[in-house]
Amino acid sequence: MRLRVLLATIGTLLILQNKAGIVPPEEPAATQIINAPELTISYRINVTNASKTSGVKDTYSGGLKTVFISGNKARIRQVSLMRMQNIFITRDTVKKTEAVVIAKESGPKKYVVSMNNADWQAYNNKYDSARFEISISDTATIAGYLCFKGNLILKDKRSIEIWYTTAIKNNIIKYTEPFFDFVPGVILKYSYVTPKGTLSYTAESISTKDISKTVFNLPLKGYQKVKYIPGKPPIPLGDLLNNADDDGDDDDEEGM
Amino acid sequence: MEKIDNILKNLQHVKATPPPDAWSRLLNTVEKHQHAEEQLLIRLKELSNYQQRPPADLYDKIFAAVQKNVSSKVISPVIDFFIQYRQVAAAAVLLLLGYFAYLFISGNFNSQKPQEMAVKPSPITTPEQPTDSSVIVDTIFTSGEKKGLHLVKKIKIPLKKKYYGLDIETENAFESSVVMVDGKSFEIKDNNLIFTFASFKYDEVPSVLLNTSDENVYIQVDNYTSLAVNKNMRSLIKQMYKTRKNGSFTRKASRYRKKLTDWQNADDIKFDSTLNYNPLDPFDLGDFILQLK
Repeated sequence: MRLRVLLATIGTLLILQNKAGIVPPEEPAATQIINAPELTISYRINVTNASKTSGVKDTYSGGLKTVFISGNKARIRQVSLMRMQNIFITRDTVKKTEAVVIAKESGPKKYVVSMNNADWQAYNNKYDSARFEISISDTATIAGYLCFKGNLILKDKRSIEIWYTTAIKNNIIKYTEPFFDFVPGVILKYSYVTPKGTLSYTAESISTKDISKTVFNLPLKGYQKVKYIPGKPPIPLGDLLNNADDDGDDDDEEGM
Repeated sequence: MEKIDNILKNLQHVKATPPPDAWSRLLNTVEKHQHAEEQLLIRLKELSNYQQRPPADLYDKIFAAVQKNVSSKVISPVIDFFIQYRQVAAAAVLLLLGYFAYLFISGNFNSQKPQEMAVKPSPITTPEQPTDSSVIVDTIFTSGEKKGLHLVKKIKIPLKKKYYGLDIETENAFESSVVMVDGKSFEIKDNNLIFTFASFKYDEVPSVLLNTSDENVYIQVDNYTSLAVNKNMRSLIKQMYKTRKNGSFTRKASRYRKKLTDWQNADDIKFDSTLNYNPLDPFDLGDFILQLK
């Protein structure tokens, strides 16, 4: 009798599970390619140098830089003891341009700066004529992903060491950080090595799950709108929230 | 108890990274709030948003602490139930055995799809989504924060325009003014952590920030972000709060406060005065903090 009950129970469970469409999951593999239209990568900032005394470096070391990507929108948010700052990027896939808003969200003087494609290029002009050298024989596993090594070298010879994976695919990430565009994959670690110390960013968590839309909304209250002029001091344009109704022209001009 | 057990079991088999101090905070909650099951559930839910196997020793301690906390309340009714309903209990046990036998045979036990393994750093207490797209909903923390940062108050401000194509109708995901240090919440002014650290009243300084051990101390800034405060920084904070017998700050403490202010001024000048430098750029930031230029 008891055996019959047991068999009937197991049978019922098997039927229910098959009806629910549950399929055996696959084992994850570090080299498996993941298409990730929604992608969140958090990089831990670490600063090392020979000095054992505290310095401004310690106000950034331990900070977190997070790259959020959803569709054609991205947000980079860097949080440290010293400063919280964001870059919001929207990629126009038709015009092949980016529209960017920088928002400083810490301190008494919070501001937002809008940049069109030309401004953004000027802001990152140090990467003009940069080159990327791959050393494919060097590999490492970072955050569970197989990574390859490369070096990005600026024309003034400064360089950053980069570790990237080809296992994650996202079409927008290369438009977030200007140097990401040089790299044939998603960067999971990069280090600026100098004689006086090293500044490194290492991926600590990677998510391909949906991101809340509010992540891509601009902060408003208490923010001043500032105009960017390459090479010159920014011009304050007034409070963003109070002037929000006057910003309609900006939308039309930029057409993001 | 069943809910807690299930979450704990699930947490044992997941694989990506929560804030590094999350497990310690959970243990802290279990140990300090022995009868606050609600607190415990909040912490567990927080961890289940992330997905990583906890440090083995911490997991064991947490599990032991949970068992200890709830056993006196739960075991007795469970035993009573089984005594009264032996046959039902036997059938339930058979059912479970059958299910696990099937899972074991089919090789599915404890495995997950790769997509499900990724971290979801999503909020524990997600701010409510506004139903009207033409309003921003500003969330503020109230006294409820002590029970797990509940967002309770909404202020609606009509706003229809857009700013460079970026939606501004709804609230920003990160607008809050509270950080968590060692399980306690602290208000921060202007999102300025440095200023906040320099402005505590002497008896309000979180003790972990004065701890000068080698291990980093983590501050939970929001549900996406934790900050590590290193030993050097904590030594500086400790020096800033050194007082004389009469309660006034020592000269050394004042000197350290000035040092901090000078750093902040230098940072503002470097990155805000001209916008020629980008604090998110590794070259610009590295050259500044390593003082090459």
